[in-house]
Amino acid sequence: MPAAVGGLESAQPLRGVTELTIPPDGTAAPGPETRLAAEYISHDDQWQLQEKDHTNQYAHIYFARLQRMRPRLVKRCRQDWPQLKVVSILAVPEGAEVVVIGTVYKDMKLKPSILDEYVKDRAVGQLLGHTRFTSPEDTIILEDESARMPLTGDALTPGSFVTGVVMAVRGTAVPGAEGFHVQSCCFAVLDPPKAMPKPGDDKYVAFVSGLGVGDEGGDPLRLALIVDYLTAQLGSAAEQSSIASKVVRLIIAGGLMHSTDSLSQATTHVKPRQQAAALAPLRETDMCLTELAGAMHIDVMAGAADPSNHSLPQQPLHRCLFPGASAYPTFHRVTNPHEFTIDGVHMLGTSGQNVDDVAKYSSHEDGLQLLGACLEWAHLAPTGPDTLTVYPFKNSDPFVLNQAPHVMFVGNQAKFQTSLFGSGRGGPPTRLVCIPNLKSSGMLILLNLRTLDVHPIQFESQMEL
Amino acid sequence: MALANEDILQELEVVVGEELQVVSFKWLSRRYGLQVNIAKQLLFAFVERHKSKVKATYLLAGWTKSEPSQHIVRLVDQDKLLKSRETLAPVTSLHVYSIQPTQPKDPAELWNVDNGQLGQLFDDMVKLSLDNCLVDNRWGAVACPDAKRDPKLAVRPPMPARPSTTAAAPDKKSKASKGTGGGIIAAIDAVAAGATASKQGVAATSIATGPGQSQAPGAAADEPDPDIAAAPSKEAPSDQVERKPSGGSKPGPASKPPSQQSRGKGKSALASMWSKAPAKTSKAAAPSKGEQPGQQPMAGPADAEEALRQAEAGSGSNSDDELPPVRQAFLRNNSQKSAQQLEESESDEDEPRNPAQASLKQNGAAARCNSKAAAAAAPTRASGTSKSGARAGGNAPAAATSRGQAGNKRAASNRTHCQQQPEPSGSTAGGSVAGGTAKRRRVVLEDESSDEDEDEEVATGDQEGSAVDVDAPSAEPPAKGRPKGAGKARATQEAKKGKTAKRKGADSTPAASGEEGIDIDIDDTGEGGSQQDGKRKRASQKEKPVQKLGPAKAGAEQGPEGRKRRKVPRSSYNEKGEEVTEMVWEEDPDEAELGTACSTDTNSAALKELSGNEGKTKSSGKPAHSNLPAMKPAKESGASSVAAKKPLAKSAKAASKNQKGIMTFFGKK
Repeated sequence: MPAAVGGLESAQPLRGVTELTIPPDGTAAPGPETRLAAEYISHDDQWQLQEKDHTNQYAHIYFARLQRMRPRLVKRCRQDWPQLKVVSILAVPEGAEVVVIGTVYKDMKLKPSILDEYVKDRAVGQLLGHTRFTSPEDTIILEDESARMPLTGDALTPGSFVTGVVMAVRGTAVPGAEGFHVQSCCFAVLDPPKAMPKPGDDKYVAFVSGLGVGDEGGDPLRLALIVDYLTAQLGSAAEQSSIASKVVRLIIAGGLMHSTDSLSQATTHVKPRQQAAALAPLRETDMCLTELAGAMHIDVMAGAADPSNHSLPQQPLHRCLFPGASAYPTFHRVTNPHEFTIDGVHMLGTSGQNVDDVAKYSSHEDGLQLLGACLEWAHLAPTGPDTLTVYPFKNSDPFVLNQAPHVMFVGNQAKFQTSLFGSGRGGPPTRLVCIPNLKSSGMLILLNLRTLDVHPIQFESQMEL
Repeated sequence: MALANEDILQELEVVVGEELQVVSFKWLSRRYGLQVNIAKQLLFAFVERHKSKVKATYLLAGWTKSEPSQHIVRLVDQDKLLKSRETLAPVTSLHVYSIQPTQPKDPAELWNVDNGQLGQLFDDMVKLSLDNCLVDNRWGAVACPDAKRDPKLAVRPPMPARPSTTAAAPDKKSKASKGTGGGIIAAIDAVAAGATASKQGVAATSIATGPGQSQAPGAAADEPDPDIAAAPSKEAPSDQVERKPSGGSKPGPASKPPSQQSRGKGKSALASMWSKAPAKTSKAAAPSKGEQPGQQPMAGPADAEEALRQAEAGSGSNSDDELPPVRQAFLRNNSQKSAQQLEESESDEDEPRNPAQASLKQNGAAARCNSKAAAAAAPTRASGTSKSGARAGGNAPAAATSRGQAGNKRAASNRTHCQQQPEPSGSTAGGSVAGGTAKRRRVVLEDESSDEDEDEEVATGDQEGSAVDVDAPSAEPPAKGRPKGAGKARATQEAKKGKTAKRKGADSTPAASGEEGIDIDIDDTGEGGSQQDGKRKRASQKEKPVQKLGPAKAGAEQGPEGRKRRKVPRSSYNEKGEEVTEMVWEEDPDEAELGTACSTDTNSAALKELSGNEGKTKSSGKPAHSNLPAMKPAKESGASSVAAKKPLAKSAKAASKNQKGIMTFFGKK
């Protein structure tokens, strides 16, 4: 991976690297350096569920989504296609070119349905093992409050859309032909990110995800190395002062625990020893977080396998799970879509469920494409509530994006990736970061707040060359 | 450092050489309290000294030479250190990570010891609250000022302490929620509430006593109280509760007894039966207007006097709003009284005697204001009106408290209101007959919010067709001396009209927001303006005076005999924005329905029409039109204002029961 320039992101010699390979000279160790601090503002209020009412239908979300995005689409259509009229689906004239705004529904042959369980024809069984449900026969249907209509035309590649995306399509309803022949389409415009704050010192925000504590096949030593590195115990004094002391915050983007199966088995009927064994991963996680919280600010997001609610937005993990770490003022339990501003840098990210789900139903290959698609669609989780579990919001769709963040990250990805995403509409580009699963990659991601450069650090503990 | 480096090195020989333990720099650091970098140097020194005895694992960090270059941190065996180091350029870290007697086969071996130590430290810190390096990463090379363990953070932050005032509030809530049954509990709570409650209680009591006090000069004095009371009203429940048992039940009987006695002994049994229920009703009322219960008993006599005075005053001033402070004070007093009365009435209603008494009281309240013979009419519901009036005055606060109850009250009030006494003839006092006929009961649904101010609005009489109010005409009449049934009825109607008009004026603002408190305004049809609440009570207690009043009013009142009446709930919006629903007896059912349909009619005309239409209702077939409109209206207006002020806080259930009970009772007769 390309090493970005700036701060420590470039390979440059450090002084004092070898001073630890000499016997102690009897002088007292220098006093600890002070870790840099950063101004931090959380924007997680929007993800905090004030009430938990699961009696609502999900249709409200689509309605709210369309209502909220239509004005922006109309605005854009008037800019891009000023000569065309925006009409509802029912008002589409035959033969005239118009613009229609609606929500995409993607008709997928391979899309799993709960009804399949009741189908005797087991041809569907072939789906087992599929990680992706796209097929060449997928078709796009556009619907608004009034009706729905199939979209046709070569300009449209069904694979690049997913259900739930709100878009404006330009085209004509050809007389005698079925569907709406699409010339082109566009999405709601995101406000560009605010101008970057005035450059200051090099400060880093660290990202990890997928700690996988409690995994039998995991590598606890590697996690310990990362913890020690962040807490400025590992490495040379040079590395401690030039990197560790500049990490102002650690974001754990979900995936604390390998699984919660053991927790669900630890009932009151279990013997104390079994109970302790079942809770061991949790305790281990707490110890790990305690070490970290004792040294720096950490934001802990819930992940898919963590003991929080399953639907997005995931609520903060309960403090009772971490009796040790939760006693630190530096320990922050946060929601799963996590949004915050640190030193003027606006960051937004998830633990990966949204991107993973989009990946199953679109032809986008990697996390960066998916993140970019989310920004392009101006929606953080378009497949919710269709295939992604989402809280049934009544009057709003909080996943609609209004402004592009400076940094958009997603956790628990297969590999580390990063790129800049520019909307082409002014403002600084958005830094996209795919945070790899620590368990599989052993990678710690540092993001320089001054330059938005990303600096991955690979940890290896196998002691074999 | 507790030990010199040399001592530590010697100990390490034991640990590694004899105990065959893996020693990492972190373990060493934590074990001996060394800064981590010192520990690394110590390990290096140990390795240098015992190269042949121990195997060392190094930590190596740097940038890989291979493309793409990558920052890497890795653990390396000592044997492979040099080779590995060549792949990195530059190297950013190199130090001994751990030493162990043999080459580890599994990296986890390096981790186990550290983790065991960590677990121990963790338990010490979490379970024993010991201060160790985990608290602040003290042996690390970088300190974070913010990171300092604070055990308090691990537990849910305590709920903010409730202010003393809140303490009272809970009582209120509990009382309110618990309704009648809650009375005792509420009382206990009130006791627990302590000083605050006591203060409030004082206020409440003062208010309660107010009636008595108010009797003479009282109005002015009382006025403030009501307001206070209103605020305290919430607290009042405790007082109420306390009073209720003693006062509520007792007072009811005491006050009622006269009426009962006078009216019929048979009722007494019922009354005893009801007495149980009343408590509930009273409680319900109490919550809304906690003060009332206590006051009621007290107020009775005083109220009558006051009522008279007020009635006079009231006659002078039609609209409460317009009333000068003094009058307002009276009104408030009345309202309070009325409220009390209402409560009583509610309780009373439950009890057989209640109808009469309640009516007396209620009517009395109304009567006070409405010198109108409403006396006759006003059986119980008048009190409701009075409550509404009370609302306006001090009730507002109470209303807030009572709001929750309001819903219940509403229902109750409606029901109760329905109990009109159509047949005056049956009523003991011939003169009182009128009371039954023309009486309109107004159920005012007060918005909790709006309740506060003097409600003149009460006026809007919504016809409650559903509930047939069986007024204990007999009881009332005697007590109130509402002899002129028909005339009274008419008078009442007129009075109603007048009231309505007034109300309209006052209420012009339609506010139907939350109808929390339901004030039942029972306009006593009895013109016998004399039938003031106090009078009624007095009547119950002192029948004669009431009767005296009655006659005077009676002139005004017209007997309601003969006409069919319906109780129709009419809702109107007060100036305050409160929605006031009144139970109105309409002669014409159809019209009544219409009236109900247009609940929001604030127009006096509409009201008048309704009143005119009021006729038949299930209960009494006798239509009573106010023949003596002029007289009564004025009185009524005053009364109405008063009545309006009276807030009725009745538990719906209790009210319903009462109604039924009354109904059946009368039916039997």
